[in-house]
Amino acid sequence: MNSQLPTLEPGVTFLDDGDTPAALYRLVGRHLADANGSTYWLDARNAASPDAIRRHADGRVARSVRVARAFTGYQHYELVRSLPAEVTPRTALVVVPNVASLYAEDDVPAFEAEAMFDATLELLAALADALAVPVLVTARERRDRVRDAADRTVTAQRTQAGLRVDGPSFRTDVYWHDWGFQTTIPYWVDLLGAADADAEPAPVEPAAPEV
Amino acid sequence: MAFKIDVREDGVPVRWATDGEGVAATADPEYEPALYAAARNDRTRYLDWLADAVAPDPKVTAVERERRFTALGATERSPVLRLSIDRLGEVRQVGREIRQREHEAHAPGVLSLYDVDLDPQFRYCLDTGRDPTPGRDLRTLSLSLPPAALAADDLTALTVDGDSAGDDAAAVRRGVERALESCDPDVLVLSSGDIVALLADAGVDLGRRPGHRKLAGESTYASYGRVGHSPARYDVPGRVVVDRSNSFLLGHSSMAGLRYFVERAGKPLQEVARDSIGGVLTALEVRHARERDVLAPWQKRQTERWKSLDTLHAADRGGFTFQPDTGGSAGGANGDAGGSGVHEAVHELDFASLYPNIIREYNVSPETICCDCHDGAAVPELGYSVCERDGFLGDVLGPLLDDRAGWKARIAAADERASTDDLEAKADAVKWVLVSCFGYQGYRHAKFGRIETHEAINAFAREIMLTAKERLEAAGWHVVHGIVDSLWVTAAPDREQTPVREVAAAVTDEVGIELEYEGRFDWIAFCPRKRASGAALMRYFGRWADGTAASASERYKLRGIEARQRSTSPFVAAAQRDLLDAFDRGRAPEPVCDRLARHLATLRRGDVPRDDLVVTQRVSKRAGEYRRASRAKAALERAAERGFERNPGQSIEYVVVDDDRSGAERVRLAFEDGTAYDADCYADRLVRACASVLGPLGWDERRIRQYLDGTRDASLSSFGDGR
Repeated sequence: MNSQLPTLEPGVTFLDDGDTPAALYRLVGRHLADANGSTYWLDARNAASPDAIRRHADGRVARSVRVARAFTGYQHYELVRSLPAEVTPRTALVVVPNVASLYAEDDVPAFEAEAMFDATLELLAALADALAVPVLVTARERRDRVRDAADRTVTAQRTQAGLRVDGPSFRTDVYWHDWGFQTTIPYWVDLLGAADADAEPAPVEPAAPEV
Repeated sequence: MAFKIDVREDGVPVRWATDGEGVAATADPEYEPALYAAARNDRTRYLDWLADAVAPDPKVTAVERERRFTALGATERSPVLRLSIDRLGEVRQVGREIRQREHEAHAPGVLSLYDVDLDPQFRYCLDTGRDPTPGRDLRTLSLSLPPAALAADDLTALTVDGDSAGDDAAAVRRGVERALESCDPDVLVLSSGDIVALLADAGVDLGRRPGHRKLAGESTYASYGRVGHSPARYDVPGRVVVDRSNSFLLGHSSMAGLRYFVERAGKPLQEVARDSIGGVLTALEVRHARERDVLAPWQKRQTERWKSLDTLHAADRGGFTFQPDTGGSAGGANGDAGGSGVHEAVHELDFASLYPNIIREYNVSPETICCDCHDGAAVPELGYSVCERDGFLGDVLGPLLDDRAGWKARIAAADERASTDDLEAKADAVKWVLVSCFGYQGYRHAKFGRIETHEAINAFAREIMLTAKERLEAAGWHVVHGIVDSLWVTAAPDREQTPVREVAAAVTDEVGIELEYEGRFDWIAFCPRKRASGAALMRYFGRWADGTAASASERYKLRGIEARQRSTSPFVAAAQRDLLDAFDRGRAPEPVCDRLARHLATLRRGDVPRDDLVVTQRVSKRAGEYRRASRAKAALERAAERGFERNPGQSIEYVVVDDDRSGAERVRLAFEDGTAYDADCYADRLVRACASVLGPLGWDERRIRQYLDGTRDASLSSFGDGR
């Protein structure tokens, strides 16, 4: 099942997870399965559920995860600022779910919240850039800002056939269900070739791109 | 000593001190409040910048460089800028302006500000070292106006110390003025602060000098996931205004409790009266931090430490719960699984003030937990270190623990004829602070809170409860139930028991916190959980054995069931207590249901006085925000129609008159006349209250209704078909 999800490239990836909060855990688990080094999970709004993370990451992988939770915009900003002291080029992944949430609360004056949020996005981008580590963010609020600041956007959707993940270099071809798997047409096209042999190859990316 | 601080329009504080039987006012024009600024990583160039930036500001009268501790755990003083402010009451404004300036010139957070959001009156006492404890008993005058009259601006319903003030506006004015003159009160206890404005409009000044001020408009806020409402606040010269509708401490204690915190926190009476428990705790902490030369941060920037998933998982576990599967257990259980059931001859043991005692005995405090100077894994499960230096939090709570223990001992030893009201009120007031201190550590805005402290307290508590359970079991006792800080045990069959008090004493010695013997129950019944999953609200009731009860006045101990709940109507509460008596007689369901049938019949005959059916409910939303047509929504709509605005966080009292209707006709407000009520609606509540009593025997509402239907005879025919 994991081969049907992308591993993450260095840079900031915005996971547009719409109505599928589970996509975050699946993506993190998938990425870490092939990775070494530790993971920093800068949490907001209780996304860092140990149970949910472990469900999608095996023991070794789960042990590499370090979590710190922010409960106010000020704390979130301070934790973002502390990342450069923690993260190294060997870091497997930085996860920042609900990156905008705490800045949207009314316990921080708007002008300060804006400034801290801007600085947060800049810092994450600079960190990803300087150390060539993947940074995965999700957002409920200010999604356009987050999308613009990210190097790429991956969308996750719950479909009747299961979780579907689309990104610039990835698309889910096989959907897993509790009862087995079901494939999509691009999967067969990729496997057997298009019916029209003269046509251009279908614009299909490999199912599990190398990073 | 100054019991009231007025802040004049020009920002000058005026102290009102007791002077013999009278009072004396002294203005203090020399006083200047101050706030402090420190720079990230102590980079003084930011302080230089700030000194230049505020130089032209007339609100800032002086800028000085000092060195202060900026955190509880700091080992060295940091360079700070002390900004003296011209007017008391303008400190916050200056703080906000500095933030704005910082924002325009620097990255966010290069400056941290301190001592910004203190009550002006509290600040004045702290800065000048003045003790706000009154030098004599204060004279109190109580003014009350029922909510409906307040809404209608009708002063003729005003009472002064319980007596009507007068029948028309002129008589009311004269009545209040006469009372002010003859009593010359130091404290005005008002049913609502709005009475100040209403009387001012009628030409009566409640202060010792003319005029009054509205300090803040009413507002609605969210705190701890609960919606609260704070009404408008007023201030009058020379007298303390206490708004009874907005004083948690007065509502849960008395003036004696308030006076205690005035002394302990050094915060004047008026400000303590309207404080939340969090506010009182913060005041105690700020005062103690000052003694350590630590400034009070405006915005808390301390963050959680990076932790593993294992630690996070362990840290997030709640308090101790032990709910054995009672099927076939040795405790004489007689109910279904999930820890419910009835148990005979049960002893209750409680750790007294477990969480605050852990804070003190185990030195848990924001600056001691996860210290860098001590190795080792002092905190069970989490492996956090704990520093040996004197913890801040223990120092704050220690005097409260000791005082309360002293009062409790005096109450216990008191002669029956001696009044212990003041001692009990003080013990209650302190109890609220003690029970809140643990949760407050995890509160995100707590100035000196820290999440790891909260986690460590919990981890110690679990270990202590497990230790107690093991020792009791080893001594021949069977633990039938345990939750948070209480354990219930019976003698294990075929075992010899070490006397339970002896075991408790041994546990006390081992863990360093007293495991108190609460008493013996002839029987105790634990209710099944309402939901299969999730944290169980603890619901139980039991009958104390003769002579062993902790409180002799109460025959039963009730927790979590309807008769204990504020929202239950008096009729249902009284009926449930009667059902408890029936339960006690045989602990069989049928006689209890027979009693229920009699209460149902009374209800159906229309014989219940309407006052006994009043439901008090705290509303969480405005009428328009309720999605479903609830009774609370109906009550709010009715109140609005009658010009009686209720806001989220406030309570509303109503009687259900026709539950099948929606909107304002569904209910009547408590103060409206009439005798009609919806018998079916209250019958449902009665049956539910009965189900709580019979739940431990495995009877639910459906079973109760079946029984009632089956035994219907001539005398019971007044009970309907039971929906």
